[in-house]
Amino acid sequence: MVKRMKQALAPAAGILVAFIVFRIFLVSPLPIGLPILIAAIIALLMVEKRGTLDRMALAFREHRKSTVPFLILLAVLIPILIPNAYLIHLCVLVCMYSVINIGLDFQLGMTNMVNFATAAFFGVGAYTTALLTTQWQVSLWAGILLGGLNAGIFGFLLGIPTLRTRDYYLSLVTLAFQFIFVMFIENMEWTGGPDGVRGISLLSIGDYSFNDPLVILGLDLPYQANFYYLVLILLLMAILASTRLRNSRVGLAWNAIRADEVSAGCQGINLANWKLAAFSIGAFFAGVIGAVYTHYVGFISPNNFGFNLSVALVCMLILGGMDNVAGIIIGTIILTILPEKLREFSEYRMVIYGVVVVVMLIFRPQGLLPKKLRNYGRTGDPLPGFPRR
Amino acid sequence: MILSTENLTINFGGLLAVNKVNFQVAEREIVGLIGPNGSGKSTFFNLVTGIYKPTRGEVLFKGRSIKNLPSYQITRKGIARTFQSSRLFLDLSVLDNVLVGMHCRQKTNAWRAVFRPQASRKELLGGIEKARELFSLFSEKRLADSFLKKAQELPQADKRRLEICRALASEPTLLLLDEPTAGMNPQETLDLMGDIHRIRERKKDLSIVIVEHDMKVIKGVTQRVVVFNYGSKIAEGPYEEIAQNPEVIAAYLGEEIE
Repeated sequence: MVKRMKQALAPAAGILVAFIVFRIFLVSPLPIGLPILIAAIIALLMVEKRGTLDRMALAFREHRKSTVPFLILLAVLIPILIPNAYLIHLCVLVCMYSVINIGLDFQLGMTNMVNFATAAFFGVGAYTTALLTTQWQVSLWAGILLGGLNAGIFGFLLGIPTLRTRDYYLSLVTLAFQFIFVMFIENMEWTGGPDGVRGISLLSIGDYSFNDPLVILGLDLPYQANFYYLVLILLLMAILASTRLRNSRVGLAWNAIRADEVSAGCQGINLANWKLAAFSIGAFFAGVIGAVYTHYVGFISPNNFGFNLSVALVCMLILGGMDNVAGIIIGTIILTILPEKLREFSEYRMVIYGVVVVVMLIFRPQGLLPKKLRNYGRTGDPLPGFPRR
Repeated sequence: MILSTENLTINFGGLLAVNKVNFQVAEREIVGLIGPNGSGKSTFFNLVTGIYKPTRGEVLFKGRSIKNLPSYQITRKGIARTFQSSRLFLDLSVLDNVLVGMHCRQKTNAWRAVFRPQASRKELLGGIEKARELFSLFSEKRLADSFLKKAQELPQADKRRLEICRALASEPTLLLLDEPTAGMNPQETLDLMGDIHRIRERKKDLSIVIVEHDMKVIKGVTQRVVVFNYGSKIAEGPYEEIAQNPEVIAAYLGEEIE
């Protein structure tokens, strides 16, 4: 009984510690936040060496009926604990980038296709809803859905020329697409050119505008909290979808392609279909977020969707750990908040990304939280017909 | 005939790696394919499984041409293979490797995986059950015992077994084994011969083509032997007859086949 309690409390304590580190990192100035973050990473690596991390992850799964709601509760409490408009804005960005990265992971982490056009997919979603809602009076929510679908179509179209390529060459094709996209929207008149699109309405549900302060339990929260809860819901949906895809035939097919394309083809895997699926589903995620972003800031221009953002997103995956949702979110948190803390040195923003990638690729190419083998069956039960682990 | 090739030829920039090969495999037959290194055995497998496209000639599987089909469709039609240098999915678990092998017999797509998780999970559990049956085909239970290990961590002999297991997962009617005993010691080789017999017993309508350098395996397992040299078929017949064939002996640089 006591042992079971301990087992259930261990992951909860782990979550709490992680949350406190996150809060300090978010709120404190860099001279305090950064040492604590580094200490936390070192602690993580030490705990991993002793196998505690794996046991924690297993315990987290075993008690997911309590651990998952606990985690969600903490996430819901963030705007109440930190009622600061700017910091909540950062949390909105973290959630948005996390969703995009979960989508990017279908290509980069699961299938090993390094895609440098994610910002373009993000932009397709943004421009789709911006133009539809300002010029065609399409409703905002339909605009968001159409933004996602249109990005999915673009992902599919980009996927086609990459089918004939692999590795670096594939990346070059995506890179070209990224630059073509930015040049295209800069030079077309109907996209607003370099000035972008202005006067996009912010989200609302019925009479409730997302632009009003959010009142919960008598607390006046900044309007960013509305968007925070929206993107938090999207993030939870993305995590659920990603987990389901990963633990199904789909994730297996993607992983097989990652490991060995020729051999995957000989197992009956239609390489073209599954690669296109990875591109279009990932692009859909980015497109939906692009559209939400548009109705969050109300103004978009081509430089929101440039190559730098694509690189930053890839860096987040490399730092956090590819093919591991928890890792992806951790990497996204660090690389979203860190550059914001270094505002004074904003010209060096790309240098941070460069240093992070080089350090990671040399010392820990698998990322902070490496990918895990699939562990079927619930709560460590033996699978039918297999010996107990 | 389950498989038959007619004048199958592939030309790599002037090198005829496989040259006008007529190769037949009957239903439920086990055929040995031997020849010196570089004689075109693996290239022949690559032609049959769609990895290379033939320059000339025809490949018929169950009477239909599969010459222009991509690999994945050929697997779906019922040809499975292993590779000479094992090509497992090394960063996946033993079980996952076999589950990937079932890919073409399953239906879950991205939509179902996300929106109908019950159906997706049911298919997965069915696959795991099937994998368990496949593991039981092999004499040693080590595959079943280490089913959640990374494939990379398996000893060499188990890797070869796992590759056969993965190939069988696609429910083939023709199995192509490319040097299945490479890297095995004599005892493991003996075990594998037993395994092949057991597979044959349990999967009644399975035909097998086996490329092998170990003549004990060829002698112990196959009903008929085909010999390649420099990309051409130079002899064909029961093992005893082949072993006496002077041309075959010469092809093996004068080594006598025991």
